[in-house]
Amino acid sequence: MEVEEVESPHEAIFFVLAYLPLQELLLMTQVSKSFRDVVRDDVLVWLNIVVERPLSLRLTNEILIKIASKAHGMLHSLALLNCVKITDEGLLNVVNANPLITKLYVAGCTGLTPDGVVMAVKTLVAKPTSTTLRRVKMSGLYNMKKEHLWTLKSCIPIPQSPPRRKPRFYHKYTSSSYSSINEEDDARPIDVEICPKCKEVKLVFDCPNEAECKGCFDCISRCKVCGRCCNSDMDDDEQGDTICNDIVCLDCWLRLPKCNHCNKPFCPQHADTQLIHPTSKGFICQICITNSLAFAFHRLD
Amino acid sequence: MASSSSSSLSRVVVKSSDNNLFVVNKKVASQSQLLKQCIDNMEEKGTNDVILIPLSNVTSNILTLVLEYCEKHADFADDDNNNQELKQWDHEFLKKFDYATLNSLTMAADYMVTKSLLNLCCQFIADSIKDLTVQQIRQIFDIKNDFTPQEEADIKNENAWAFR
Repeated sequence: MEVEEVESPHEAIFFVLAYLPLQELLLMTQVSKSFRDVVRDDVLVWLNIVVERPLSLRLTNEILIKIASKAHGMLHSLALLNCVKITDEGLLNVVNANPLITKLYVAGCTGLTPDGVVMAVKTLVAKPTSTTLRRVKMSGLYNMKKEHLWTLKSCIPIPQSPPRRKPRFYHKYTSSSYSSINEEDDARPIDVEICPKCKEVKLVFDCPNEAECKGCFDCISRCKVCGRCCNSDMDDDEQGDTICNDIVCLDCWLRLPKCNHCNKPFCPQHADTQLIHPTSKGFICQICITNSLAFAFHRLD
Repeated sequence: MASSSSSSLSRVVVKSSDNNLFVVNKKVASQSQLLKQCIDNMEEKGTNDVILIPLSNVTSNILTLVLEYCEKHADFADDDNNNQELKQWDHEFLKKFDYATLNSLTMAADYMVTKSLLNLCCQFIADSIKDLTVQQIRQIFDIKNDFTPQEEADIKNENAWAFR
């Protein structure tokens, strides 16, 4: 059997492995033997684990523990986005085995309780390690109380010279993007804060127009396109209907491409996923297609 | 004042693997830790000569691109207010290249220890891999399938939960 020592023409892709979300990383194992072996055995590839759609809904405690064990206790950041099957027990297990975690993102993991996350954070902080936990994202969990927030704040060190609080806009904010784990543009150590309006622990958004206009999405609904406030209770005319039921202000609504049949647009985020082949002639949304088919079948009967 | 300026270089000359010379401003060169280290070492020795840094692993095509990147980032090094503009520029910069160029650029960024460029390239390639199939990845990166059918079935089975 001959051994080929030819250097891969695309060696850079080995660097790229560490930047891939979980599904793409697992896909790479099927490409060739060398990739399978690197992904299987190289700890560096597993230091940042990001699980997002469509794996979020399939990730169970057992799989998470198995995957996290590939980092051999060196796990640096763990981002679980909307992983609803993960429970406090599973998270605590991973945290116990990986004391070096500096970023813990569990936004939308509704199987976790705030108590469980606080427990995990306390466990991390209590370990005598050289690195410290710097960031926690946990928006979307149920029953978050101020007490949880205070405890978390006492656990996470506040930077000596805290960067100026940058405004957070609704239309720019995505908890579920892979790059969010590498980017530091949102300087908050904890993503949730106390909403100035309802005093609940929520994600608080700023308004691109008015500095005073701050609040969680339940208090101030905002346009998905431009982030400005459009409270429907005040003036119903200020927002337009969309297919995805996301809120869009009237100015932005006028500019979006609309379904040829029902004249409703997608918000840009859903347009990206739903409109795979938009043509210059426009599109017909899935709802209208389904309805027309149902109508046709009804006529046939 | 004379003594301090005498031991500090303002420019260096960088030589590519195909023997082309590039005169580089010190601030621009400092974006690469490799070049910065060379400059610092020479400054410690107190040389007045213009120093020549040969890069045996980087062709002039790729070096031009790395230096273009370094120049832009050196311009923005002092103010982070324009972060958004710089990000936009980064994206436009990489968008122009095919995978072979991106590959060489990544390797050059690694060799020249330009961490931000390495980061940028890797993230860019990672983003473009999303939504590709195994076949497409093999095709684009010119990778041979060296699995036996049994091995291929095994590895698919191992991570079956992720690909339902």
